[in-house]
Amino acid sequence: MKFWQKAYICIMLVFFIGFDAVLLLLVTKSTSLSTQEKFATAENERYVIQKSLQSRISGISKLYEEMNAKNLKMYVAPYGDYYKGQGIFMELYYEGDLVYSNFLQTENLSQSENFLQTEKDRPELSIKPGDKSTILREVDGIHYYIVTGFLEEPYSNIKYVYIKDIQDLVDYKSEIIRYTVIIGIVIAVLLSVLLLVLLLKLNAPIRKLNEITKEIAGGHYEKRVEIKSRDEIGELAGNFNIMAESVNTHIRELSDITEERQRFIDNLAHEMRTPITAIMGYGEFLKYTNHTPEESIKAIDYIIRQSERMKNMAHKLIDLAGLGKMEITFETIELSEILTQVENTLVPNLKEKHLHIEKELQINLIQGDKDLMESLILNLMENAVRALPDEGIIKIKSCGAENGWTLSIADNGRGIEEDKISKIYEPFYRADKSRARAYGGAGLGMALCKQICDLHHADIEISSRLNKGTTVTIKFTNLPQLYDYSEIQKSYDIPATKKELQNNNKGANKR
Amino acid sequence: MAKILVVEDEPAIADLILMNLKLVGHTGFHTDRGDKVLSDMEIYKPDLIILDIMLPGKDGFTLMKEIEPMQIPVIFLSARDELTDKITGLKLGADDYMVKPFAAVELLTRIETVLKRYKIGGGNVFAMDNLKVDLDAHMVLLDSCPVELTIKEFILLEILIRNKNIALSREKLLELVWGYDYMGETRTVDVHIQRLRKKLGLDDNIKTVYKMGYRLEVPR
Repeated sequence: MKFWQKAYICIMLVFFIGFDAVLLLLVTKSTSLSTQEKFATAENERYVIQKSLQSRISGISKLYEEMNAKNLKMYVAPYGDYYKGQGIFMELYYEGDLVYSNFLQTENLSQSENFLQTEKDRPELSIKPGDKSTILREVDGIHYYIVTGFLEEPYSNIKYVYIKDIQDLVDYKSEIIRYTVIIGIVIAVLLSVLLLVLLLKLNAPIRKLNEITKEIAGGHYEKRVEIKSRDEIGELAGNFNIMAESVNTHIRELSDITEERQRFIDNLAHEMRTPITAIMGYGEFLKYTNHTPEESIKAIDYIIRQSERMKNMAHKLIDLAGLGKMEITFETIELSEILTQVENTLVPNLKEKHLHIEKELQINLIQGDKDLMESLILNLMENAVRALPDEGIIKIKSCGAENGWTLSIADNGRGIEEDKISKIYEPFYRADKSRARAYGGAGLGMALCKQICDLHHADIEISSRLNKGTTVTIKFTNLPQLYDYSEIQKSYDIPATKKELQNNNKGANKR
Repeated sequence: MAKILVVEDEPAIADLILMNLKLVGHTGFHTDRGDKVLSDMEIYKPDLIILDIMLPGKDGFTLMKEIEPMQIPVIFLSARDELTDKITGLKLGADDYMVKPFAAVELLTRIETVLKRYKIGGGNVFAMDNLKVDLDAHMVLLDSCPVELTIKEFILLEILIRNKNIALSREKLLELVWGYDYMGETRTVDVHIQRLRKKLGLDDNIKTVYKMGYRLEVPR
């Protein structure tokens, strides 16, 4: 069952019990009040009539010597007729016998006879002298208020029965009840409709939230809830949006990574294809054909060159893959030493093109991983060598900067088109495809440089102008932990360490 | 044989194709940039073009659109193995599409097929020393005298001629001459080769290459 249905049922239940109880009490009280009032009036009436009857009868005793049923009846009859007009009936019993009755004389004779004659049906008649009985009785669908009593002395042998039609009271009661029931039903219906509308309205944000949750679960991670209310649901919606946003961000990151990886693999597959095609093709050529010695030398040369290219690629790939997980160790190294080593590696290329290297090292002692720094500088220098024409110049400069130092490697070579600079860190991207391949480049050098810089928390920047040259600037930031060993030492929580040791010892003992 | 323009930016691959073309007697030319292709076509007037897709200057698909009206057969040779690329290439009017890495024999066979379809090259008559083979008329003349060959012998000879200077394994020959589903032994190939040598006096030219198969060697 849904929450709003539960709330609906609960509220309706509480309301009906409360409302009906109130109605019931009201009706009961109201009817009992009017009954009491009616009965009090009737009692007064009866008293007046009995009193006047009494005095009347005492008048009879003055007129007639003997009181009998006949003259009593004759005497009382006008009275009876008078009151009958007001809905008040009377019966008079003399010595236990009925002398006079104007109650139900004409209509439904049999009933009235019955009513009159069978005393056992009317137990109220058999009262002891001096007593009085009051009952309500229904005759032919009409309610009567019946009071039976004796007249006062000396006529205590005369029983006077006061009968009053109180059907209006009964009608009033039933009318009140009927009205109350109708009111109750009408109000209940109205209220239930109103409640339903209100509940649905209150429930709307929850349903909306629910729908959005389903949509998000269905993969529409960009969906958000728009609930402006300031209640708990509004708060929940706000928090829900925050959650959805962070989920979305993570998913986007993940899909970016997956995409990047896929692109990397695609590129790798493509890059591998050329050397493999060449190696296989020349291999087959050598195996199956009757070739000339010149052809065989050419084929073997290609096989060696393409194998080298693959080897290069494999090495750089291994480096790249390794860098991803690597925790580097910072050590103090001499920049000039690294540069010398790189230059030695590049001697053949430098000599071939008659390139010059100008160095200006304001900073020589640096912090970093020696092998990686060497790899970084070698890659950048290789790029510079490729970009340079004969007699070109490479300028290497290091200098201090705010909170760190910068290294810049500049050449006056071909330069890179501006729109290509942003893509340059992508694996297998080559600013100049044909030339880079001719040199056996794998297209991974800059990706590697970027990784190395990231590991050193350094920023790498390239500025270039076509046919003027390229400058690569790397900004290294001093890491606090490199200089504040004392701070780190202090921050060790020695008591905790002790505690841990103790715990470990305990554990060891138990074992 | 035919004049073939190889459009390929990777020198290693370009040379490989050129060397193989030369082997079977085609004349190959090389262009390494897409935007040089049309001017080179003017110069070399090729019978067929082997076209890479990813090229500096202008890509292969764009080139194909420009070459198509000239009625010169084109075979795409690309590292791109996506189905959509193949379909695009063929729909643009290329006669074939091959994916790198490729086997030289396959490339040569496909070139042969396309040339045959266009009836280009006139290479359908093979002549060497005193032997003349008309591949279209299925006629073999030794010293101007016709030689009787069985169908299988002729097909074998044709394949050897088409792949001259290239060694073909017994299995490969069996597959090419007798078909994939032939259940015979490679010994059958040896028998037929012996007969060809005998009938055509090719003892020196059809070489048994150790551990590999047979090769028709033609002076180059």
